[in-house]
Amino acid sequence: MKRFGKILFIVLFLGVIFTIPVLTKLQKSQAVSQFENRRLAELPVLSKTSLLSGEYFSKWETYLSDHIYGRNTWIKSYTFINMVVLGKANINNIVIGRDGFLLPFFDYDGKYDVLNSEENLSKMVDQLKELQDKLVQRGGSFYFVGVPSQASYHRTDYPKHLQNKSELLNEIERQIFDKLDQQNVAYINMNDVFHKNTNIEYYYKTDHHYNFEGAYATYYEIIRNIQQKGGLNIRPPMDKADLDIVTLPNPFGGSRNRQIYYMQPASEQIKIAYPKIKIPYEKFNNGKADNKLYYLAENEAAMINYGVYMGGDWAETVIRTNNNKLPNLLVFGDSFTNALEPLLYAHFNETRVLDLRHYNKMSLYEYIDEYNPDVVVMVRDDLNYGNLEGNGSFKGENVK
Amino acid sequence: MLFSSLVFLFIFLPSVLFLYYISPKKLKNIVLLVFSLLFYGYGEPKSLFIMLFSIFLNYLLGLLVDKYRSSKPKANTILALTAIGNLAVIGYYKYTDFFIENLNALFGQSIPLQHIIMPIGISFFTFQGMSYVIDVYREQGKAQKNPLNVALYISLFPQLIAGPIVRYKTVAAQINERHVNIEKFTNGIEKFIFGLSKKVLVANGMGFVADQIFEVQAMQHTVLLSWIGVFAYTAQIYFDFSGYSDMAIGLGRMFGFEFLENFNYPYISKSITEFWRRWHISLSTWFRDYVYIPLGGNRVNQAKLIRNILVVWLLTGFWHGAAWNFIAWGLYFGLLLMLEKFVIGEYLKKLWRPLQHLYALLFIVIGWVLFRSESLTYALDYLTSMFGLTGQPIINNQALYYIVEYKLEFIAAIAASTPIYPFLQAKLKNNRNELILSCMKYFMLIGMFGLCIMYLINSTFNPFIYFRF
Repeated sequence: MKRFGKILFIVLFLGVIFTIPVLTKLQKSQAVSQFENRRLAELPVLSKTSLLSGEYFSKWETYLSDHIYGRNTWIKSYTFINMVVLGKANINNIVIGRDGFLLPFFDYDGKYDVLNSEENLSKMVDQLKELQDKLVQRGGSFYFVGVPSQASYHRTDYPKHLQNKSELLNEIERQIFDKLDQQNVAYINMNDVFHKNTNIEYYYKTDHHYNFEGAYATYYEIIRNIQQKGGLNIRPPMDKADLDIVTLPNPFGGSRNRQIYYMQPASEQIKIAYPKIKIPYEKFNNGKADNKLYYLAENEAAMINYGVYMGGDWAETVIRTNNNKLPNLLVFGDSFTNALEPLLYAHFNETRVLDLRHYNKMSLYEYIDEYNPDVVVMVRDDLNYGNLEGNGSFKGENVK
Repeated sequence: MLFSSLVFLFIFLPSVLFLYYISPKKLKNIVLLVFSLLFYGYGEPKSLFIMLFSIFLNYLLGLLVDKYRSSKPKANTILALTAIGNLAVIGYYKYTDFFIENLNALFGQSIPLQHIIMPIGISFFTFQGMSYVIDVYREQGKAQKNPLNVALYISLFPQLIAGPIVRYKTVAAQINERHVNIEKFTNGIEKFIFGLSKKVLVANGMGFVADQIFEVQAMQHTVLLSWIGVFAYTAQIYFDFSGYSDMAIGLGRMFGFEFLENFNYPYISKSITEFWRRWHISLSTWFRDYVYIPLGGNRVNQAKLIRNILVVWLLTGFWHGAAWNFIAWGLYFGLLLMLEKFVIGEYLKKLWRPLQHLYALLFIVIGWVLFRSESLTYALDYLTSMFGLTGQPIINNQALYYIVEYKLEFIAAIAASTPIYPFLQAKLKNNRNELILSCMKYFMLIGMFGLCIMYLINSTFNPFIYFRF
């Protein structure tokens, strides 16, 4: 019997090391990992250079890890063990905070401290001032809209032993708005706005973006400022009573929940809104006509995410109401602009939206010269106030 | 290639096992040799030629020393050539830039650095090469007429890149004649899984903590953070290194080889002398038998004994890496060993046993600070921080984070540093429920293997910390 136990052990071990590669070879290879939101490694290409440098073989390790049989099950199990069995607070760089808020893990590498150094914040404010001066010279106006990131707004929900960057976030906020004040740059600080009514929840628990309430409040403030402070002849912001607000029945797959393989139960749902008085428009994504403002799933059971708003990030989106009496708007920023666009367009003749992380045909300045907007709005989250790349780069460093 | 990689587990290992066991006996060594060369060439194909040169050199010298053993002057010349040849290879690839840097600093020169890429495992295979020639001379193993056998001994993949340094006398007979049975194969798998688990489940986590702490300026550490960093490194180096050795021994057994143990629970030592009897045993015995004893060992006057100890520990430190902190680390242990031998040894034995353990552990841990630091200055700063002399607070949130987040890894590391497993195994024997318990053990091992695979698929942190050796 003892011998039987040993033979069984050998069979199990050999079974694992012989079966997994065979099953891996037999299964259909996948190009993209939906869970990890990334392309999987491709089969390494053999060449004399790659062979001699060792690169060919090292790529095999990545390839095998990406395509191993049952990969999703392996990584889900790993997440489960870390989350439930080992009780880790940091699971795949996600922290489960108070009330089930999924927050980003802030490492001790000082990445955000460097990104938001005083030097970077000063440079950012200087270039915002330069941009505003250019627009004012042309008879236009500019607004910097600062939005707290989900991690920033919910910083008090972090477990006590983890850093929440509270001091840094306070300092970034203080510095940038002080500097904007000193330089007379028009801004809207959504952190102040959100904190005026803390009964409303402005953020998803399981996604890094604001929810409909956050987007609506931001839209409201932008239009109110442009109309009231800027004196532009546009209709006032739409009240909720002016909107048909629809709660989508689909399960919500937030970006942070995706990072932990949707292991955090979430009952959140996405809300979308249409003006009750229809405003005709035509819309183009990267030059191609596409009239959808919301990208809905084909059935109610399908999981949806923040990509519902405008179909995710596009380099350039143009929405025209073709009402020449109204001014033209240019908005640029990261994905925080996506949920604003279906509401903002209603107030303008032409709304152009750029994501400078992806747009590389011309610089922001050249774009302004080309399309002559009356109002320019930059939307930025507070963890990226000092980030001079992507949407923080105005002079075309990304232009091809 | 690393044992703790998916390519090794799911491509290399099944392939070599399959071809080895379907091959006729006369082809088994060829299969092992071909796979060993593939294993080595996988990461650095260019370095393969350096290893082949080393094999060829030692093969020729082995034949010569065997032929001329009766003539002492000739045999001594051949042994000297063995030392010079092998040390020239390791010296060129491992130490050239170190010597240039120091010559430049000492004499104000500006000789350009050569930036020579060191072949992985060079310290292991050159020492095995020397062991081959010396053991042939000492008639502790037969000279191999077939160069493929020497190639197999030196390049055998289980021990090739991270040891243990297998002495020729240990495996000389096994190269031509070895047997595998179910008992031995099972034992090999068990040892391999244990080693893999040490590396993947404990060492990698601890290494992640240590790396994060050691990459920050030591003077910025709080006291507790410094101690966490060095404890994490203490666990990492032991579980990583002994994990590799266990995997090597286990793999060896799967192919019928019996290598000697390389670690014997070193952190339960009660003195530094005992620690070095339990830590990297294959290296300490190599230096003992091929350097210390030929220098006269203990049977000399006190001055020469001190010289012998210092020479061995200087070389031990230098073997680990071409940097002053490794030399300092070697000499640090040399001095501690002399202190125990000549001054405090007897007093130490009379101490309360927990205090003996505490003493040994404290000095081992301080040694690891020297070993892990990028420079001597950093090591001194780190030690200053450990003992609260930097003015930084005792504790901060980062320290707390590592304690809370990695508590289970720390607990596992502490438990597995003690001989709890052999203790349980002894209890298991002759138990009424031995069969059930042994089945449970095998299922637990398969579970650990599954966990390792899971961690390897997920984790991007899987360092190889012997690249300097």
